Amino acid sequence: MNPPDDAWLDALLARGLKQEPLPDDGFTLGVLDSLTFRPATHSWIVLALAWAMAGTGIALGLSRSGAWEQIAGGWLPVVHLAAGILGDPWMSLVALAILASVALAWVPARSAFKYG
Amino acid sequence: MTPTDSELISLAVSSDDVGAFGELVRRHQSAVRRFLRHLARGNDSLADDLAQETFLQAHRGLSRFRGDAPFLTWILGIAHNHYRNACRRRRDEVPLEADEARMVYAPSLERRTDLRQDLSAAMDRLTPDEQLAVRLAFENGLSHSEIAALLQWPLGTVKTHLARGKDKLRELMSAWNPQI
Repeated sequence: MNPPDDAWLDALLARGLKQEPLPDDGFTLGVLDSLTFRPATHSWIVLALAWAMAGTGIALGLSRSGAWEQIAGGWLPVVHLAAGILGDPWMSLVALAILASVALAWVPARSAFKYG
Repeated sequence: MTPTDSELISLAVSSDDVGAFGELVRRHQSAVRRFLRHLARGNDSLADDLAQETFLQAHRGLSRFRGDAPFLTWILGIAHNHYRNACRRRRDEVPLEADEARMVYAPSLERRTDLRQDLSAAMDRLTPDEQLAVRLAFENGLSHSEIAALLQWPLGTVKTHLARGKDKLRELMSAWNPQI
């Protein structure tokens, strides 16, 4: 229990240490921005690359088997073009990189959509 | 009606409502940043970085908040842990001697009009632990048991630091005692 003459000190401390709130100055916005940004982790990179490779492989397989022609219908010229691009080893790499980028971009983008 | 901290936490946890969490940040950013600025001894940018990390960790662990203590006490505890980890990483804790050596102003023995200046100078004479206990009690209005939980100190240690701090302040601030 406080001795009786401590009341003045308690009042003084309560008055003297109480301070005006710090202005937000964009602090809250910074925290919320950080919440919506999730850097891609290694597991996401591996997953995205695996997905991109599998997607490219399926696309190539379908092109060679002629299945696209049945699926595509009126879009056949476009499919032929895509198949030609994917059939080229260098272009396959480019396609793989694009697919991987889309997959990686989806991670932070998904958060952005979620949190508006 | 303004929602309470508990209502905002429920919204943030159950509906993943970022707006509710944002309101919690807006409400408590000042106390958390001031607390860390005090610990960081003037390194405001470090304090603000730590404050941001504190709120991000609080968001990740919000579902584990049990509500035994006020939200502010809980988040100040996280802030304190972040500060200690940062000190361990940087190994730049300022020893007490150095802190005392930089003192350039002493509270006047005559009654002054600038309470804050006198009190600030008097507070600098306290050890860091005494300052911390006094600030948490009088600036943030925390109880002894809340301070003990936040700093992970035994309750007796909190009371000792508070009593010693107040003993020093009683003497250093005696010019402000209306009974003298």
